[in-house]
Amino acid sequence: MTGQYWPFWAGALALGGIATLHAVWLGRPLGVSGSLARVARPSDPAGVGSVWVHVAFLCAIAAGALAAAMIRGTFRIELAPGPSLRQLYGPWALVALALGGALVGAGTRMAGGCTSGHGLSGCARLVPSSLIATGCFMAAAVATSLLLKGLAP
Amino acid sequence: MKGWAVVLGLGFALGLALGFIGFGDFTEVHRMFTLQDARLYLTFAGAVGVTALGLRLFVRVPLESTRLHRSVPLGSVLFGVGWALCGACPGIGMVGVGQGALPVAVALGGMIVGIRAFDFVNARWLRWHSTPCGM
Repeated sequence: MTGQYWPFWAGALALGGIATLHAVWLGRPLGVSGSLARVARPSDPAGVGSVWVHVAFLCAIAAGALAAAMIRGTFRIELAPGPSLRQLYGPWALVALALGGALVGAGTRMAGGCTSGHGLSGCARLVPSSLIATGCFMAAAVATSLLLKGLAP
Repeated sequence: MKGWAVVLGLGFALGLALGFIGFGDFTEVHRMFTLQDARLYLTFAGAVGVTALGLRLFVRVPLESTRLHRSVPLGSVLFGVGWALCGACPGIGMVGVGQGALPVAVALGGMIVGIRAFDFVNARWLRWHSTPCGM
């Protein structure tokens, strides 16, 4: 299963390189939840920059993932949740996606960052709030997943 | 125009890398969070190391940071629970949809609702000053 994906060092070099180039070229740390929040509130007077730049950034992420799936030969349009989601949630998979998504949106907005902003850009600079954020979201995700695994049939 | 090319290029590279790493695969993410597989942890830790080195070597300007506030641990716990439930953080949601897993769009819709819900509650009652990261 794992063998078909990149080994850890290749992923580390790629993600680290992208986060570095983002800061070098744009003068601000990489952070996806900031873009999503900007797009979620297009008419926010406090919003920085054009909404369309953030729309373009998010769509480019999807396009990159599409290209990766094409190259790997795994691209497939799926209309129903995948087998591991169904195994975990049965008929409630879409509810879990919606509820989980809402918690991700509210949580990252409240915390001011997500995996890329706090986890990558913040931790790399040893920003105290980012180290705390990353410890909290990782620990909460592990605890929740172990609980889910224990509850699943 | 250069700015757009940079944004599009970096977004594309990020999606491509996340796709090849397998971060958009719910099975892989669930295996990481249930401590059955260390590869994604090593990837992430390595990426933090590479970024630390890259920023130190190439970035001279001070970058913005989130202030320490009780909203940071609280929000992060909510985020972690949500990520474990749906397998998607904001970037991974875009990756999932790009890979063809259209139900992940439900999680992205949930994120937008969650962002707006927090802003509503924050503006009326909490009045915390949260600074969104990134762009």
